[in-house]
Amino acid sequence: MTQMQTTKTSLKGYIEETAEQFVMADVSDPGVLQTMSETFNKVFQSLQENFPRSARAAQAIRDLLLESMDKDKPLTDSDLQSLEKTITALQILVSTDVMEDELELPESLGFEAKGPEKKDPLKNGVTQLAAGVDQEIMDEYLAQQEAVLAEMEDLTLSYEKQPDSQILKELKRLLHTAKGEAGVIGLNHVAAVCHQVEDYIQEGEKNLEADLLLEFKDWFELTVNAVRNRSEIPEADSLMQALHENSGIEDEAEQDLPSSPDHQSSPSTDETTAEHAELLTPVAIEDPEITADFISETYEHFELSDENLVILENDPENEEAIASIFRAFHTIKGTTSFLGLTPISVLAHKAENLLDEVRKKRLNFEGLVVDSTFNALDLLKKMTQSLEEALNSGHEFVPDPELPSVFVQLKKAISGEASPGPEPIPDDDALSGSKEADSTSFEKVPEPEEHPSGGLPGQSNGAQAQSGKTVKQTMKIDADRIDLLLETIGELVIVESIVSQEASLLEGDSRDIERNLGQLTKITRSLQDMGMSMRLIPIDATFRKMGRLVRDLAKKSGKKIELSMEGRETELDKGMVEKLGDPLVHMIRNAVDHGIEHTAEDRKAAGKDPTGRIVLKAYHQGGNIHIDIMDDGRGLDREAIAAKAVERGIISNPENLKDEEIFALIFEPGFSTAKQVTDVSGRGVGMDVVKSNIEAMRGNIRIASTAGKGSTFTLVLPLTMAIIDGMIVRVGSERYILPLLSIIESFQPTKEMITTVSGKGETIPFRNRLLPLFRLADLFNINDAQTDPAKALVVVIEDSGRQFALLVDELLGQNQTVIKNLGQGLRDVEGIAGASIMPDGTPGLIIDVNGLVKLATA
Amino acid sequence: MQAQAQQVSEKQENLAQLAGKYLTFLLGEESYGLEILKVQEIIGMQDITKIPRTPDYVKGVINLRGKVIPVVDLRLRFGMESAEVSRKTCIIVVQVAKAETRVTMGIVVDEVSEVLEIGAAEIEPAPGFGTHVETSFILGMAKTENSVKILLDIDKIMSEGEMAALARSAA
Repeated sequence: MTQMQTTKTSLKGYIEETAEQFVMADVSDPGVLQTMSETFNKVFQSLQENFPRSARAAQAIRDLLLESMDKDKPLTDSDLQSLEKTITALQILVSTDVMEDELELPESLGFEAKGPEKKDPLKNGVTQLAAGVDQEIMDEYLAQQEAVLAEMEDLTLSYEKQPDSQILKELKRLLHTAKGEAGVIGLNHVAAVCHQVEDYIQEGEKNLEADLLLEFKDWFELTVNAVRNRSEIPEADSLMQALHENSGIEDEAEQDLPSSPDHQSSPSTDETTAEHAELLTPVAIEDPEITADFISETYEHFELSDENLVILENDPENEEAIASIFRAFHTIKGTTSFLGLTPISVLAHKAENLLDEVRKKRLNFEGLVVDSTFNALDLLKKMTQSLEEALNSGHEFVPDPELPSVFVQLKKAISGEASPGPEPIPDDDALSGSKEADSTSFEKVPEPEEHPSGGLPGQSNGAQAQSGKTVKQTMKIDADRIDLLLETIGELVIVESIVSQEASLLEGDSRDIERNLGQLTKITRSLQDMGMSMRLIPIDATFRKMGRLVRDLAKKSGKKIELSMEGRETELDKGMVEKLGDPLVHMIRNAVDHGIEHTAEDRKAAGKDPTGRIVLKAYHQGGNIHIDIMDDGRGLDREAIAAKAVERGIISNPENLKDEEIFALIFEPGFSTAKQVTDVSGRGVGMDVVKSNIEAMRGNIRIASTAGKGSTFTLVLPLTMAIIDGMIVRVGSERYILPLLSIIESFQPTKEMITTVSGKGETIPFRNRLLPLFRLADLFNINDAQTDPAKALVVVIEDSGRQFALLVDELLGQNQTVIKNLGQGLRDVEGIAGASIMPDGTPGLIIDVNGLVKLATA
Repeated sequence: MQAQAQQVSEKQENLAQLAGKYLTFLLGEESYGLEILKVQEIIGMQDITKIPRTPDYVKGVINLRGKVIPVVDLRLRFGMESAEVSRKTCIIVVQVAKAETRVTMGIVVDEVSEVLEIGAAEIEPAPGFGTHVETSFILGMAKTENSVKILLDIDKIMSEGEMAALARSAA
């Protein structure tokens, strides 16, 4: 064992070197072949004793390389494949503890395909990365799987709702991609499970258990997390078992992978029209994000290639230019084949082959070679464009029907058929002529299939938005850096407002200064807006989770409930999206558990559709984000809540309170958990948690409910947590900022309006109701404030459905500023939410309305 | 006896560690020292925004180049009479260790004197009485040529626990 280990270690260097050479160097260069064959010879000799099987492979490769050198015969594609496979296998051998027998060695060298007797990949408990998979690739993979998981769940849920072959197709595609990617990354057991599920879908067709699919999704999610944390991958035995039982078929041999480009371009000559037709089938875009990246990248390649082609026309010997175009084609080939865009990759491959011939000086860059290269490049451009269109519209990518004619031309060029003489340049007309000749076989190209957006508006929106990604350059940036940038912008905003209000600047009537200051203000504002928008992300991800939640809860409680979602694309601050998850879960749970009637009969009796409906809706309103959670269930029981509140001494005479105020009582801590109320009123668990979470975001909750008809909970949230829209109020010599979100109205009271209730507190009428009046000066112990209400001002504020009147001296005006905390030494000051820098540069305190009300009613 | 001896020697060792540079300042007649490493900067007196419902020694918050930091009046913190703001009154901005993080705070003092290098030999443990300051806030006493400086443990004075407790009792 130790000796084997020593052998491995000693070989590691060689193998890595070879791998590098294979990737980096030109394998047609005799010098490279020479070094590689020498290395393989060494590898062969060292392996002979302990690893006979691998040694045989190394030997075979060595011979292959030697033969190629001797006979000056370039390595064929299949040779290269064998070489690549062997190198990978050897990399695995030396860098892991894998048994030699498990290595996948090329069949073309006489090794049996890894088939039936391969070890059950599911037994590999611990993550084993494939050779060459570094952390970055892994991270990328893991990040992608998040989206895959979300989509998988989405699709499964829509399928469950309404079985549809289109959805199945999508699901299969998703699984297929997941399988492939897992394979690439070395998660063979994951790939195997994906494969099994794929089979299951294939076999089951119309009769699939959504539960099973969701179980798979959950397993997959756990696995992804396990890989991320480098912990043990959860076993999938029971899942596999279930899949087996349900599909009732034996595990079949590997499903056909999409035909690889090399396959089609084998130097064999009979490229049938059928083969071409296959290439012309529309291709679904598997990974919009990568595809978008690919497109923008490819345009750069095109520009460069155009430039180089022009150079080449004038100077056909320019090797650098040839190499550059060759590389461009090569890169395009690689990426597209990875993306499953076979038509593009095959074309790139063929063009690459042609240029390879030129590079090796077997062909001159002239005549047909030039033309076909230009044509190939043009067609690549055209297809990239249509790929972009397909991506933006969310349709499938339809290969260009000109493809076969360009293939034919390329083949002619490569076989040197065309006399390097004055062959007429095939212009567009000539091309379309040849296209016509072939057109019979291409006319049947299916129309791009519509994305299933019609049937399920709510559900498919997200998917569409996702595939409809526009091609943009993107950049990953550390979130901390963005926060720092925002902070700096915030400081700029403050300094800007200080400078703009600097009296001495405005004294002299210099128009220049005035104009420049105006400009400064404008730029600062737009900078602020831009900064804010960087933190905005769509609420979609959070909404998606709710889909699953409703489904599971409904299933558990035996109710039939349909969830629809609107405004999934609504954007809000990233930090808030994260914080919204918990409150939404609570509220949805309440809606399902208590909102919707217990049985379908109950609903029928009430004259409602037996299927309960819950609507999640996000939208902008008045500078805020609103999120509605609506159900068409029983509604809140006003009487029961009021009775309970009276019993607990929270309120005394419920008759005076509006519905909204009564409903707001369910947010009282401890109130919700009281069993009696939960049973009667229907709502309850954890509402105080919801409230505090929403308040932490400086948001508000409003409840509207009609008994028997249903309830609507509306979360009103600021666009961002970093900035506050506030009203500056003055009390004595102090100034405070009141969040605009909480202000209902302000008015000048008269002395007569204020009544004292048994010497305890003051009240004031507002919209036909009596509101408690609090003097801010009293609450904050301010001595120099106005004591005569008639000379002061009343601001009506709202705190989760309850309204209060607040007496201040005057309103100084609105402002929008960056919120800061009071400094870490001073947290939790009652009634103060934080600070903000005032236009004069001093800190202003932001009033925490909820805390203030607590303070006043304590 | 032995345990006591050990304690004494430990104390001496601790005192030895106190040697270093101190920023000295005045509160009335008394002279205090702050470890120079805790001091971020010294700024002039400025408008302070009062914070309602906090103890009186919490003067409020100021804007330090865009950052809001709390300011504490050290005289009031130590139970001394408050003093008129003079031209010499200033705010020492200090970095206070709180749990794992460092918190920036300002302390109002009558007058900043100088930065002194204080050697281990000059430092003595705090006496049990004789100052306005609770002895738990005192690291040690330093005898310099013509005066005695009280070396303050600023972390303790400004620790949130203390402040929060006081804030509650004041509310």
